[in-house]
Amino acid sequence: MLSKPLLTIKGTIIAGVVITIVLVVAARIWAGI
Amino acid sequence: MTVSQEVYLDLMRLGHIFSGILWIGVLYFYNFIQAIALPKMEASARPQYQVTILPFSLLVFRWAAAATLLFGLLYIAGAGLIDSDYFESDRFKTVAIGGILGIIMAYNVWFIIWPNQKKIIAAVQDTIDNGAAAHADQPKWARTALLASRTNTMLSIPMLFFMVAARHLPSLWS
Repeated sequence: MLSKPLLTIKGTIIAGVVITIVLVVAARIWAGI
Repeated sequence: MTVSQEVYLDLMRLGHIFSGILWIGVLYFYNFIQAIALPKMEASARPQYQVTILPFSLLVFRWAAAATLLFGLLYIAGAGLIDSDYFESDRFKTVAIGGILGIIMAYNVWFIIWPNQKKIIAAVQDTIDNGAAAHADQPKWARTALLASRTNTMLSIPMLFFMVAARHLPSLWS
């Protein structure tokens, strides 16, 4: 269940940007192995 | 690559982009416009919105989601058949991350958002036609649909990034 801050539009966008950054960093780390 | 193979891939790409923009456009309308504006609408007018604009927008929404998925899979299948190295490419790795997010989102549309919205629309229609009292589970259906819709909005950000990055960020894996 999503927590309350994620239900706000601002929280949704911030979470989306954070996920994007995490995935990009993960891809770069994976590529470096 | 032959001309007909290129035409096939371009048509699948065009279909994928068009239906994808339609799908995510309606998703953003729900989250960035409707979610804010609908509660401000006069309470007596809201049911009319819910039985006219909402069902039609949901029809476009869910079939655009299905078409996006279908065109995307047909593109990948074609690209894989034409070039056997495609599945080993960095381009595919990037697009696959976006694709996995997109598949989760399409699942949410068809199996969470739509079934719950369908129940809400039927209940509102019942109230309009027969004066039935609002169904007790209506807030629960609305909340479940909202959570899935918000989740999709959140996932759309990395999904769009990786879809575009497949062609425009070739340095991602190097």
